[in-house]
Amino acid sequence: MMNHPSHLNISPQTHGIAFNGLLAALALVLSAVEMMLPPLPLLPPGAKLGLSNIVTMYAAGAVGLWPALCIAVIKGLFSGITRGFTAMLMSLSGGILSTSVMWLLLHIKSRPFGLIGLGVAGALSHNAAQLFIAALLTTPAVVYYIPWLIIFGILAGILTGLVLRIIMPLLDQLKYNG
Amino acid sequence: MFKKQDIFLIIPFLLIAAALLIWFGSKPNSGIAVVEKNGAELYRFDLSQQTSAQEIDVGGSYHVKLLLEPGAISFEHSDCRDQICVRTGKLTKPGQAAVCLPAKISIKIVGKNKDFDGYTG
Amino acid sequence: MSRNKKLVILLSTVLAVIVISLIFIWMKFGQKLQSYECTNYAMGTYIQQTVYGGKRVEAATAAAKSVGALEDLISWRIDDSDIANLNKAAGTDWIKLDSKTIAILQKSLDVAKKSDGALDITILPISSMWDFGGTNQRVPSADEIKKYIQYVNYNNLRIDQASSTASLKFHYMAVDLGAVGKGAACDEAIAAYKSAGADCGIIAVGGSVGVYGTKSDKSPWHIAVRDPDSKDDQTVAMGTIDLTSGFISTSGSYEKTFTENGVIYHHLLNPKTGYPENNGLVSTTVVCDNGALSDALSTACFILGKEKGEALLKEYNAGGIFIDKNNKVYVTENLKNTFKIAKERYTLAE
Repeated sequence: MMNHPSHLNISPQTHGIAFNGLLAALALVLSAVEMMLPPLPLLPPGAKLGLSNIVTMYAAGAVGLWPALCIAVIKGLFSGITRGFTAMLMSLSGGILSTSVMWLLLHIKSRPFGLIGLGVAGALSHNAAQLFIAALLTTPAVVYYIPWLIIFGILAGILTGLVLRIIMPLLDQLKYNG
Repeated sequence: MFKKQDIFLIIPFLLIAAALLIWFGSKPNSGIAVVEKNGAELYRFDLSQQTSAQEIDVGGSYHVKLLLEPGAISFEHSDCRDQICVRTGKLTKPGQAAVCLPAKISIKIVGKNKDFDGYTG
Repeated sequence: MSRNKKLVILLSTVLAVIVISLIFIWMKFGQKLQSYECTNYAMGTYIQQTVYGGKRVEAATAAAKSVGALEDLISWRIDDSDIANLNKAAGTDWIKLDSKTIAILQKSLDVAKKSDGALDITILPISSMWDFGGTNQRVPSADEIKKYIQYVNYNNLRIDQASSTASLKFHYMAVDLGAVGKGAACDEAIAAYKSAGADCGIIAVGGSVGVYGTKSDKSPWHIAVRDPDSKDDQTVAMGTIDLTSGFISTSGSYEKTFTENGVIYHHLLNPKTGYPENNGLVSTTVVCDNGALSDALSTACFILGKEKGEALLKEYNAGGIFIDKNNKVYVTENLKNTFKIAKERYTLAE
């Protein structure tokens, strides 16, 4: 579990909550930034790059399953408030599944996958969950998006993994030093 | 950051994506082939219901013959000098067209996307 | 089992579930999108079907078959059909008829009663003289009309549902289900879709349309109301109506006509006068939850005219669209939200 900094005069629980809150806030900021980008071609409307997955990916490895899932849920609720009910379902399903998958992958002792692989797994499972919900809610015609969701999922996953690799030291700093 | 095993996550899915794309692309083309002579409609064929290759003899002074296949229609023969019509090749998608000017025969594919599901009256 | 192994198993299960769900979605929903279209000829008109779902081909085939079977039962032109036999036995005994025939006769009589005879299926003695659409189209003489109009009276068609028998009281009486048959055919087809297990589908028998199920994108069925003025172009619409379920039929004076001595005669005869009805309407469209009724009502409403027609429709909880010679369109309250005019020439009357 986490190594809470001992030089600060706050309890580990508080530190934990504060850090998770920070991660959640970061996820929301990334979500907001994403929403301002133009829609991507060939993808269903509403599909985004998944920048906020960088946070859930980090959380899956750094703070444990339940806090990570909480962050995913908060992200989902945020989407609900800003973009409506459907967006919330999409975000919740994608977030919960991808976070769980990434956590699972990270906890195979031999750690066979790198950040890139992790990012791809997260993105693909995120898309899969969203596709399922979309098919249920709207039209089965969404199945035609599958090839493009796979390709973009892989690309987005690679991008997520790369970015996390770069900012990982930063996040770890925050975690260990308050 | 990148480990060898990551490939196992990427390659299989890319292959699935490619396979799906090919599968989608191979669905029989749906469209209606409209054959006109002198601007008046002669025949209409539903390309997606076509199950075998069939020769359509339009006749006329240029002895025009069309080839109707599952998902495609083309000029197979014309006595015209330039042979532009025959050289246009197979029409498969809505919007495509071929014309034999001397014979005044044209073929075009129109979209099947119906505005209506049914008509009453 | 080591923790590692457990996780790998858990992970594999999750991934397997994802893949299986995707395949499941693909199989279930991909099928829903595929449609099967086919066109047959029966009941003197084109029958067009579009059926969706895994069982679409079986459903369409079954529907076409059931329509053919119905025609064999109710067409007065077919030897040994129930109606031909009924007509032959006019003035003599009660004869046994198929329950389907009885049901259609019953519905037609019900509409006849409620419309005070505006629809009268015993009109064959008169309509056969006019022979609309036949080889012998002509305007019968006034004497001929006078002679045979007395045989046109739905009250003299008796039905005994319990024994599945019926009888025409007088000789020379005869039944023509032309005003109801196409709608009844739609009923048969929709029932066939249901039992064959189609996901959804639509059938058009001439101007009568029946819809079944919900389309995969959950949108309603968009039905075009043909423009009475469109002459030969069968695809011009004057308006559209969105149907989530039910049946729609249209009776129009433009459908079957012939000209004699410069006068145009159309096939919607008033059973009381024996002549084409001339009340200013050019077409009536009726939406109802039963096909045979929608067809019967559209004919009755054309003869009745707008006011009485609207009253009749209320009794059946049906909806209607009346178009008159001046391009004015009257729509019953219950259709106002789903009907839209598509051609400027037509105006909605308030």
